Amino acid sequence: MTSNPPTPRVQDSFSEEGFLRAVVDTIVDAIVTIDARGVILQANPAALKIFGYTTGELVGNNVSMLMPADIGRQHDGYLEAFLKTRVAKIIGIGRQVTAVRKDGTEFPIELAVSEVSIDGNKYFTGIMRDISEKVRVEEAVRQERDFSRSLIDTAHAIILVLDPLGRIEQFNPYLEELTGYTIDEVIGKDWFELFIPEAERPDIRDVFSRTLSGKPVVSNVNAILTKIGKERVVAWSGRRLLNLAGDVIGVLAIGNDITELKAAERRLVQSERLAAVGQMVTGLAHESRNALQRTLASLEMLEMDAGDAPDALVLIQRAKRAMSELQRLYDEVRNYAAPIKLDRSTFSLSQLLEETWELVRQVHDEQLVSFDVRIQPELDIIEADRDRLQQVFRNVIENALAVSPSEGLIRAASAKCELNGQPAVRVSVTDDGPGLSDEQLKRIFDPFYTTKTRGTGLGMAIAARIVTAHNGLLTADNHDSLGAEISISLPCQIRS
Amino acid sequence: MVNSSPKLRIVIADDEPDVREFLSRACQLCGFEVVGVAENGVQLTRCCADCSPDLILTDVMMPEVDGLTALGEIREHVAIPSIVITAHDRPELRLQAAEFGAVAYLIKPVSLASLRDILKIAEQRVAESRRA
Repeated sequence: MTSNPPTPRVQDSFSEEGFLRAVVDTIVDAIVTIDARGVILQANPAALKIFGYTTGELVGNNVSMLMPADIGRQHDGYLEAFLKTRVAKIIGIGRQVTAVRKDGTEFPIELAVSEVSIDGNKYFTGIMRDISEKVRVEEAVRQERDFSRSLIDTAHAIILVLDPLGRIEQFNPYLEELTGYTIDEVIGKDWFELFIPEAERPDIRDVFSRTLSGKPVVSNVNAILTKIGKERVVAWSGRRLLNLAGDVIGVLAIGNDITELKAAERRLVQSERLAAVGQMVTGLAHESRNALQRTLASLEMLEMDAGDAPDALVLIQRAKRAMSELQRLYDEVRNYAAPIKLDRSTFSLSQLLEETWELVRQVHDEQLVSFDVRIQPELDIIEADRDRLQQVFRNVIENALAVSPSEGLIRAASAKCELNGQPAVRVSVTDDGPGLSDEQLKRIFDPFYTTKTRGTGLGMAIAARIVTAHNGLLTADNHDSLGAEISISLPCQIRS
Repeated sequence: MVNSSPKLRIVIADDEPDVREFLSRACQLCGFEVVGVAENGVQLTRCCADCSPDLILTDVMMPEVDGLTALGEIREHVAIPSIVITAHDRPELRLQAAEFGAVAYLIKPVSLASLRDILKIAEQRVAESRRA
């Protein structure tokens, strides 16, 4: 590349040489000239300043004094090799190398070397710029970038960058974990189409447009969809991103998954409502029962008097049935609203399940459905309120039986799980009925929600309250091969 | 229905006329003799002093003096088995009723059928206590 080095125009005109001298002396770059053996012939003031030597200390010495010892030792060799092979490592190229000051401190420089030939003698001129500051800034920027990257990667928060069209540009690992998508699956895709439930899409696009126009978003709560279609509730803050020229290049959104928080909030509201309902129900108890008693008293007396009027007797029976249904509903509401006090004992889950199945079967003996209990021995013994838990299983099994096809199978199986970081047992009761609709899944634990023609709709609501009172969790889902799956998770001591 | 032993003599107390009438007729239907009917605890105590019944059927919440207080007062003079029929289902009330000699604590609404069963049991208790 440098096989034909430019021949410097050596001017002896005083003015021109004086001018060049002035340039060399005032230039901020260090300029050092050496001969073919590496001996320093000249150093400009900037070189003296940068390296901390006087002219006398430099001139006549080998240039390797300006280099770290290991490189300096080889410098003569480099020169020889270059002169022999003309293969340049630095000359005419320029690169970043390490230099050494008089006080021994090393610092980065950008070095450009040119070869000069005068009267058959070879000289080399090195132009050096102290780039300590530049390197320091670059390092700081790199550290900053690494820090930001690790924040984005490790944050327990959603960090999302969308381009102005709403396409995904950045999608952090937390969001991958939350949604079940990998970044490769979603990058460049429309965020709203993929993640926002259809009903909320127009509103959320609106929020996005406002953010693009410069109005930051604070705590906008909306649902996002995971890969398997579950909703997570997220509280978002967002602002637009501008490039140096001030153009809008996208939106940065930070989100917190508040699904559990929302659920807890709902439970709190629910329990407050229950407390109020409980008080009301207690207040109503006396008068309602008295009114029921008066109605029944009158009906009973009517029956005594209507001894030989069969039509009247039928009507009286109907009225009594209706009254007893009203009474049952009333008792269940009271049961639901009453505070749950647990009477704990230690017992076998599988035994309780079998017993409960017997109870249910006695009432619904017309159906040819079988029941399969598989509880792992190490999870079988549990401490809980046996009667209350039986009430839960009874409700769950009755529901399963109600949807089971003839000769169907209801399974109860156990699995080890965790609840709030504590060991727990999950008993899943599955049926091979039609499964639960989205509406049913959402509302199965709501009081007074029922799909049966006869039923108060309190069974599962009470079951959920009982499980919650055990610090457990009652969940409903559909299992893979259709059919509903109700899971009861309860804290337990795992037996080895 | 009427057996050889003399009819069981019963006093009834409830502040609701419909209920008083029903209880009276139910008792008569079961072959008992209603010797007194009270609308509150004061009347109940007086009734029992006047007619020394074999069995008391009483409500709890009644004006002036409630049924349990009346049972307590009666208990101080004479032990008469009782059946408490109330809208209040509270453990402490059940305990107190048991303390005052109640043989049954029924939650309203009470049907003729269940009343008949309870009266039969009460009748046996009364017979047993007489033999003793």
